[in-house]
Parts: sequence; C-alpha cells; structure tokens
Amino acid sequence: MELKTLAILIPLLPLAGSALVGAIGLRGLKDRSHWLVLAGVTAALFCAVSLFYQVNTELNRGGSETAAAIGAHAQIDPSQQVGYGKLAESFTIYEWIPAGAADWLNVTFRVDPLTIVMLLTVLSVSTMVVMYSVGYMRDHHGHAELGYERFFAFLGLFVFSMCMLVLAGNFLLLYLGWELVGLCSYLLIGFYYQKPSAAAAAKKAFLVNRIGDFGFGLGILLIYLTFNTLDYQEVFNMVANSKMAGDLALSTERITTIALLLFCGAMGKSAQLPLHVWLPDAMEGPTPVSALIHAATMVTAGVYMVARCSVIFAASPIAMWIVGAIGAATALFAATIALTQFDMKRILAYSTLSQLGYMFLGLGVGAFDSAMFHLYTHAFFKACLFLGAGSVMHAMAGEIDIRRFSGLRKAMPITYFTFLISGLALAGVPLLSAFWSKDEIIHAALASSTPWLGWIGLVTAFLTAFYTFRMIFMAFHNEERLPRGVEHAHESGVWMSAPLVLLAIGAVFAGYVGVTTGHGGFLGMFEPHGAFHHFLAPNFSDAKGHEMTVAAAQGVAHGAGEHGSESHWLMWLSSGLAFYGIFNAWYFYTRRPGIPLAIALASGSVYKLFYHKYYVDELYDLVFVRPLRRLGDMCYACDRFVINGILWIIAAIPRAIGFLLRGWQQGAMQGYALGMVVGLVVIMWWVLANA
Amino acid sequence: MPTGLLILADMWMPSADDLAAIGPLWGFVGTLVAILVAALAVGRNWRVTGMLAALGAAVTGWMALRTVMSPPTNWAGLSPNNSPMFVADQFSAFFVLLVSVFMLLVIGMWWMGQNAGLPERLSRKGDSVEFFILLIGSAFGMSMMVSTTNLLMIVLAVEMASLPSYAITAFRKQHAKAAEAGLKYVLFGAVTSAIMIYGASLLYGHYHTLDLAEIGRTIRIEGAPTLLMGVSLFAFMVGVAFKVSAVPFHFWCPDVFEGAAIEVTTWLSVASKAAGLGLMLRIISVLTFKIASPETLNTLATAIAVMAALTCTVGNLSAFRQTNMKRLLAFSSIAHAGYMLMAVAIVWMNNGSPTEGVAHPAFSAIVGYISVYLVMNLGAFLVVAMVYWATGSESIDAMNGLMRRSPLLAVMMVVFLFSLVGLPPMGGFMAKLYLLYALWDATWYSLVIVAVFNTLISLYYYARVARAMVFSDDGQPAIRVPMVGQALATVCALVVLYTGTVGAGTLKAFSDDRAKDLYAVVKPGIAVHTAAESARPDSVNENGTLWNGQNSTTVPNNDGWHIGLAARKVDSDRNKNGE
Repeated sequence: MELKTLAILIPLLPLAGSALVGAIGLRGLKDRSHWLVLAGVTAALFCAVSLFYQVNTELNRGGSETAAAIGAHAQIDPSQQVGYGKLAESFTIYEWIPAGAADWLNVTFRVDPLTIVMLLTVLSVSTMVVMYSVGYMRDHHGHAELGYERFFAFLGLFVFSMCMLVLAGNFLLLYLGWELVGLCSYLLIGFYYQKPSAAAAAKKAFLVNRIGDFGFGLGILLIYLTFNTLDYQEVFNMVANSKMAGDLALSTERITTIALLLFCGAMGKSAQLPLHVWLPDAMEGPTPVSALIHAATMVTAGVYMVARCSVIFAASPIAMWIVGAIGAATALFAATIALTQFDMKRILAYSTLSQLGYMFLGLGVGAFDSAMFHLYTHAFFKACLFLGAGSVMHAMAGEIDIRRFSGLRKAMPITYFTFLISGLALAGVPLLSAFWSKDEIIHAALASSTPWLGWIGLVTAFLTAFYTFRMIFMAFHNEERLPRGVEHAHESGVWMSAPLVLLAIGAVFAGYVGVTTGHGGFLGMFEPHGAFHHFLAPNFSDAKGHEMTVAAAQGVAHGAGEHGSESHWLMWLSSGLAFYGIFNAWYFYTRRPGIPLAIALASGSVYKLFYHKYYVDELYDLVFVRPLRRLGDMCYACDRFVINGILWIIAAIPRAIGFLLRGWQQGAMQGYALGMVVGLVVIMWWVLANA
Repeated sequence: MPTGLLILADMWMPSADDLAAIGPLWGFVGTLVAILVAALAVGRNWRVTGMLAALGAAVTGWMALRTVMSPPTNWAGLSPNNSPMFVADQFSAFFVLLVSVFMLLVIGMWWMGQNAGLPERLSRKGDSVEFFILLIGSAFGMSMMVSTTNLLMIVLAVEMASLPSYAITAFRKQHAKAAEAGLKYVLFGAVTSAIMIYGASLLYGHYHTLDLAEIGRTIRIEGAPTLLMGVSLFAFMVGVAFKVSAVPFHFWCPDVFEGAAIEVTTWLSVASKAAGLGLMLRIISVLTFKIASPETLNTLATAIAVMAALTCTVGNLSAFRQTNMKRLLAFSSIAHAGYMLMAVAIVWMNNGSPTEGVAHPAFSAIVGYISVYLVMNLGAFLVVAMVYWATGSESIDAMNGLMRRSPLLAVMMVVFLFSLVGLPPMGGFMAKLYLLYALWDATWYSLVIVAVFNTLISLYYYARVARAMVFSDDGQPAIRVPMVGQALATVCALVVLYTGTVGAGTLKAFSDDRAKDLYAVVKPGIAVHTAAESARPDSVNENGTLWNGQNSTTVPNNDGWHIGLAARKVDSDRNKNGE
C-alpha cells in the first residue's frame, strides 16, 4: 500500500475498534469486547511494519546521498529540505481550519524515521498490553470486570491518540494528540472512579499536566507568531536556514523562549521535576494502563517531542543545558526515592521517572538518537516489569506491598523469569537492551561540555540496579509468604503470560538493533551506533550538524568505529556498577536482612526524606494547593454574590422585554396587522428619506 | 401543470442540455404525477404515497447534486445573462438540493408520525395523497423561487410556494388551532404578496421589462432614479421578507408553527427560509448596480441590516418566555433568519463592486449557515416530535427529565440546542463564526455586536430546555423511541458534531464552492457590459482595478477568505459619506 494510505490507516484502525466497542460493546459484546480493539491495534501494527520496510528500503537506496548530505552539511542549498531528502513525507489529509489569508491549518501527517520508530514502539507495546488486559481485567473465574468494554474502548482511543501524536505533521495536530492522550490518561487512571484515591489521582494528573500544557500551548502560539506557520518542515527549515545564514532576525532569545515553553509541556507529560508528582499517583489506574501509558508510551511523548524539535532545541544552548540538567536531576532524585518505597508499582513508577530523566539527559547533551534508542528499549523492559507487577498483583488479590509477600519465585515461574530478565535489563546488565542505550547516553554526557551530567548518570545507574533487585529479592526470593486472604499463589493465564514472555524477549534483544559488530569493541565484539542510529540519522543530522551541540563531534558521521575504543572503559565501569548494585541488593535483602533497617535508622532524616518523596507533595499542598483553594473560595463567593447579581439584573431586562413582546404576540390579527403596517411605514419612510 | 412551466414551454424551445439542466424540477413534477396515478391505481395507501414522495425527493436531490457537482459550463441558454424566464445553474441546483434533502428528511419524520399511533383526527392518514401533493407543490414553488430572474416568474414562484403552504398548515382541519393558523398565514401572505406585486409593477412601469438582469444592466449604464428604486425594490423584497419571517413581517410565524402539524412546522421552518434567502441572493446577483447608484444600494442594504438586527433581537427576546416547544423553536427560527439576513445585508452592500472577489465570505457564510441550520433545526424538531408522539404534549414540561426517560434523545437534543446557540464544538458554532467573520471583515461592527449580544441571550432559552431535560425530573414515564427516529437524530447529531470539529474546513470549503458558483454566473454578466461601461470614468474592470477612478489601486483577485481590506475600506468610507 501507499505510504499515505498506511499513514491514514494506522490511527484509524484502533479508532474504529474503539468506536465500535463503545457503540455496541455494552449490549452486544460484553466480555468479548477486546477482540475489536485487539484486531484494530494489531492491524495498525502490521501497517506500521509495512511503513517501516518502505522507508527503510528508501533509506538504503538513498543511503549514500544522505550520508554525503550529512557529511557535507554546510554546503546544502538552504532552499532544500534540510537533511531529510526523500525520507520524510508529509501528507495533507485535508484542510481543517481556515486561518487568515487563504491559509489553512491542516490535518497533516508526516512519515519519517522518527515517526516510524515511535509507531513501532507504541504499537508493539500496545498490542502486548491489549492482549494482557484480556486476562487481567477479569476475576479469578474468568468473568469480565465491570466496565470491561469501557476499558477497551478507552485503550483503543488511547492508541489512536498516540498515533495521531506521533504522526502529526504540524504543531497543531501534535497538540491535539498531546491533549487526547492526556484525556485518555485521565479516563484510564480514573477507571475505578468509585475509588476516591483513583478519582483524586486522575484529577491530579490532569491538573499537573494542565500546567505543562499551558506552557506548551504558549510555545506553539509563539512558533506561529514567529514563523507564521505550524508545519514542522517549514518551521525547522526556517530555524536551520537562519542558523546557517547567521540570520539575526530570529534571535537566540526567541528560540530559547520557544524551546523552553515547549519543554514545559514535555516536563508535564514526561513527569520531570518539578511536575513529576502526578506519575506515582497515576498508578491507581489498572496495571496494564500503568504499563502502556505511564511507562512505555505516553510519558515518553515529551522525549519524542523534544527529539522532533531537535533543530529548535539545538539552536539554543541554554535550553539544551536546562533539558539536560532537569533530566539528570530527575534521574537521581527519582532513583533515591525508589530506594525506600515498598509498593511495587510505585517503585516502578519512580524508576520510570528516573529513566525518563536519562532520556532528557541524553537529549540535553545532543545525543538525540541515543535518547530515542533508550526510549525504545525502555518501552519493552518497563512494560514487561509493570505487567509482571500486575501479574503479581492479580495473584495476590490486589496486594502489591513487597513487605506482605515474598518467595513467589516457585509459584509464579513465568512471571519471575520475565520480571528478572527485564529487571536485569533495567539494572543495565551487559548484553541486555538497556545496557546499550543507557551507556550511550552516559557516554555522550561525559564527552559533552557538561561531564558532571554523565557522572550523575553513573551514580543513578548504580542506584537503579540496587532498587530494582531490592524489589526482586524481596518479592520473589526468600521463603514463601503470602498476604492474608490468599491461599495459594498461582501463575497467570496464557493471555497474561504470553505478552510477558514476548516483552522479555524484547528486553533482551531489542538493544541489538542499536549496536554493530566490530573488532575490538566491548567484549571484543560490540560497537555502539548501529542500524537504529543509521535509520534515525536523517532526523537529527540537522540538529547534530550544529557546532553548538556537544555531540556534534560524534554525531557528524555515524560510522562504526568512530566511537572508538576509548569509550570501552565506560562500558566496563557501568557493567561493574550494575553488578555491584545487584550484589548489594542480594547481600542486604537475602543474606543480612537487618542491614537495611540499620541503615535506615542510622541515616534517620535522610531516609525519611527519601521515604516521603522529599516532601514535594506536602510542599505543593502548602505553597500551591491551599492558597489556590482559598482563591477559589474567594472567586466562588465573588461569582455567587457579585456576578450572579449583575447577571440577574442583565437578564431581567430581556426578560421584561420578552414579557412585553409576548403580550404583543397574543394571537389577535389586528395587533399583528398594526405591527406590520407600522413597521412597513417606518422602514418605507426611512428608505424614502435616505434614498 | 404549474403555470411557470407552460410559459416556459411557450417562450423557449429546450435543447437536450437545457432539459437536463432543469432535471430537478421535472423530478418534483414527475413525483406529483406519480402520486396521483398511484392513488388511482392502488387507492389511498399512505405507505405507497410516502414511498413515492421519498423516492421523488431522492431522485430530485440526486439530479440537483449532479448539476451542483458538474463544471459550470453546463447550463447553456439558462444563464441569467440570456434573460431567460427560467434560470438553471449550480446556484439554483444547490438550493433545490437543500429543499429536496430536507423534504426527504421531513418525509421520514412524517412516516414516524403515521406510525406513532396518533388519532386519525391528527394524523389524517387517509389524506396522505393531498398532503404530499401540497408538500411537493410548495417544494416546487421554492425551487422555482431560486430559479428565475424574471419579475413575473418570481411572483408566481412565491405564490406557488405559499399557496400549498397555507393549505398544508390548516391540513388538520378538525384542529381549531390549525385552522386559525392557516387563516392567519393566508391573510398575511395575501397582504405581503400585494405589496410585492406593487413593487414589481413599479419596476416594470419604469423599465418596461420584467427581466431583473436587464434592469440591472440598464441601471449600470444609466444610473437609477433613487427614490423609485428604493421604494420599488424594498416593496418587492417585502414578499421575500415574509417568506423568511423577517421583522416586522414575522407575526404569522409563531402562530402558524404552533398550529401546523409538527412535520409541517419543520418543513416551513427551514425550506421556506432557504428559498427566501436564495431568492434574495439571486436578486442581488443580477442587480449589480453598486457603481451606478451606490446611495440607493447602501440605503437598501442598511434597511436590510436594520431588519436583520430587529429580526434577530425580537426573535430571541420573544422566545424568552415561551412554554410551547414549537413556538419556542418558531421564535428561534426567526432569530436565525435574522443572523442570515445580516450576511445578506453585507452581500447587498458590496454588491457589484469588483473587490468583492469570487467567494465573498458573507455569501459563503450564508450557504454554510443555512446548511448547518437545516440539520440542527431538523434535529431539534425531531426530538420535540418524538416527545410529542409519546406524550401528546408540545409543552416544555413534556421535556422534563428526558435525560432519564430517554438518554439518547436528551443527549441529541443538547447537541442540537447548543449548536443552535452556537457553542463549540458544534456545527452551529462554526457556521456562526464564519458569519461573524464575514460581518467583521465587512467592517460592519454594529451588526457583529448585535449578533454576539443575541447569541448571549439566546443561550438563556435554549439552556432552559436543557435544564428541563436534565434537572427537572418530575417522574414522567420513559419514552420508547422508534428506530428510524434514533437513526435520523443520530445522523443529524453526527453531522452537527462533524461540521463543528473535524469537518470545520470541509464546511468552509463547501460553502466557498457554492459561493463561487453564483459568482461564476454573475461575473460574465458584468463582463458583457464592461465594454459599454468602460467609457465611464469609474468603471468595472475585470483585472481588479478599483471602481473609483481616484483611487485606482490594483487589488489581486484573491480567491480566498480574505478579500482586499483596503478596497473594502474605500467602500465603507463611501458608505459613510452616502449617509
């Protein structure tokens, strides 16, 4: 099929599934509602794969020209599309909203390597999660939960929204997708809306995102004001061309403002400091939702957006620095909190924050492709971890506190092994997917002008290994203990196990698309920057070509071997740290269980600080929530007494006139005729007087 | 046989192309004949009659659609430039399409009414043949209204549309209110027709021709005696104002709407307004004498604008205290006619100046508004009708608690009501936005203020209905909604939502295309006479030179949404001086 057809089908198929389930699910399908959504999402995945093959073929055919174009970046004719060549195609689906002089805001889709990477990631994880949900959203007798069809309708809607977000060819459509995924997130976090905590979490997520989205919206408006268009290609061309020509019309301040406003949106959506507070609470939603939306896909939208706008960000060193610094801070901050939590899903949530921090760190030092690579590997192992936690939760009758159970290894072997593999990946154990991607980011950071970001990354890597295995050892090892009310743990059904296994396979092998084999690399075999980076190269060539980005040195040519053997010490170091973290966790939680308690007691206030998540929620409550509430009360009082009063008076006037007019319209012909004649005479007189 | 066609046959030998072009009207006539023949063949069967009428409406609509979609060279001798008795172009085809689509929907509604188990006194199943003869007769008249530029034909068409409407209003003859409504309608119709014919006779007396296009050409060359033009044109427009129920010719509207059966009310609320607006635009399109006597045109445009503002305001204010849903919607329809008349005033104002461009935003706004209004108004009436069939009451109290009694109907009704107010994300919002934009673009800010103010107050009475449905549940029993009704209402609601969100641009593009169709007709008419006119200092120039010689800026002939603002400024300055 043609690219355009495929690009249209990809969002429409899940939407069709979702709409059908919404329309007929409750009455007609009930506990078979999943089939429509599953079919839609799977079909969309096939479309995405087909899209990938077409673009990849194009890439290989035009590979040499593209590489030449990247290499000789400075010589490119400014009028040309920068860097993309034939690889990026924008389709205007139709004209949407008229905007001023013969200008339209269109529904435009854009297909390029970045889009395809995102589509493949989103759709493959979505397919797994939809499959998993079939087993998860049932009780132990296999009866569908209340709201089963609603759940799948929302899930389908989410996949549609996410596809719209990544396929968008202009900022308006991006914003639309951005808000749509936010809406789906809200609906799904609050899926158990009878539960007050879930309703509150949904509200919190929505409100915190509002703050970020406000900035994002302003950023888009500013883009429109500056460039008078919202089309990606036009905006990026203008930024890149003005940069090349040394054009002063587009001031650095303006670009920095745009970049930072856009980043505001990313901070909200990807839960970076200081807007991270909603994500841990979002775990109130059903676990598949946490896996799909709050780990693998939606929360990475911010990373995707920054990568998409890499040209804009790369043009502003300050913005880049801020992105990197916030990423590093979030990575470390969230990892320290994760050390002390006991709720499996919350630990994973903080781990997600921390990993998202890595991605932003990578973006901030200009390693856009490495950040995307980490996004892609992270989706698999983190989704697998969440689904594993869901599997445990399902078996433990909703209990998820790792102090209440242990030793599940025997009873739940599939869950255990998949969880272990993904945990190893998350910890950064060599030869698993995250090892490659995380190391690239740290390497890029160390090679940049801000190497301390890289050191923070290394410390976080150690903490990551530790908290991951603390969780694994506490939950799955030691003697078997079950929470009250659960007679025996049991493995989940095939609907749930199959996605776990598939995702675990992804967690192991997904990284290999990003490495090449070469002599003298890590373990004498592996070099970073493989096919993945080659595929994405056209997207970032422009941003990376800019001398201000630190990664320019490594980014200009993506050939293997360029990375050099000097980086291998880092690989050895980080794998050492990973193993050391795992060993510590093993020693603390299986050998000498007294140590953690002793450390907690000894460290006192520091432990409390971590355990209470740095008191951020309390702080926000004090600084923002309560004053805002008070302001709201004041506004309400004002509305009730002042504005309502004025409105009543205003409404009274037309009401009185209405009363009079109604009296006129009594039905008596004489009155009507009189009115008509008087009216006619008056108008006629006026016409005669003026004509 | 309708008189119009006899004259047509007498005066003009049709070619095959022309026959095809007037196809839509043959559709209506053929349906009339088919219904009569079927009545003779199978007796008075309401199902057969209804089916035939629906089929006829569908075929007519399809033929009209073909003409609308065809390239604009198809209408051969039927362009107004050739001064025919009968004009068939894409513009008229579009209004025929509107009328026939609407007729199809009204037939669906009527069908449900027949199935709703009303007493014979109200449903009059036995008289379905007469009912459809009258309905199609008025549809034919409405189609004729937009298909001619001849004064006599216009008068005949208006009568053709009106007379069956009078009868159909009083169709439930044992119903006292219906009889009263019919009588009122006929009296007002007679008076306004008289005034209209008086205006037409003045025009004929002065110009010795019945052809409006010819009159327009004469004025463009010789100028016009302003007093005569003002009086005669305004008197002529009174007949049309009556059809669109503009203040002060609106008095018939609420009583007629209340008295007539609900499907008839629905029919009159949209179809006759569409035809009236179409006729107004048609008249403007041939009387392009802005250059020759701008004062007259400005006075007339201002008169229309004042009428529009009054129509809007009186309609909305009167609706405030209505307790009968049909009366409420009647006043609402008056108000909506007012909004559209505002745009008509703009079209008048800029009429004939070359700066108006091919797709004047006001023109396009009218087309968009009437299209959306058709759907949302039908939807609202449909819900009221279904409640009426279930409860036998048309009072607003019958809507109480509808959210519980029939959630689907209630949600649909809220969609229609909010669309009628003009709230996003409904089609009514987009339509109103384009309309306000057109007013703004014409720098007629007072109209914008009136329109916005009216939108605000209209929120009150529409929201009152919504409040009754949602908050004032008085425990009435649930309503069983017929499947056809559900489907029809859902389709209407989807169209309203579509045009308000995803299809906002589609709506705009659609209306722009229709607007271009009319100007494709008009422009050649001007071009024919530019040679004669070019001797005059302030001449029309097809290249886009401004019409007043002193200020000859060249304005690019912009196809889009913005039309040279500078040029418009000059217009409005001239306008101010004129006053």
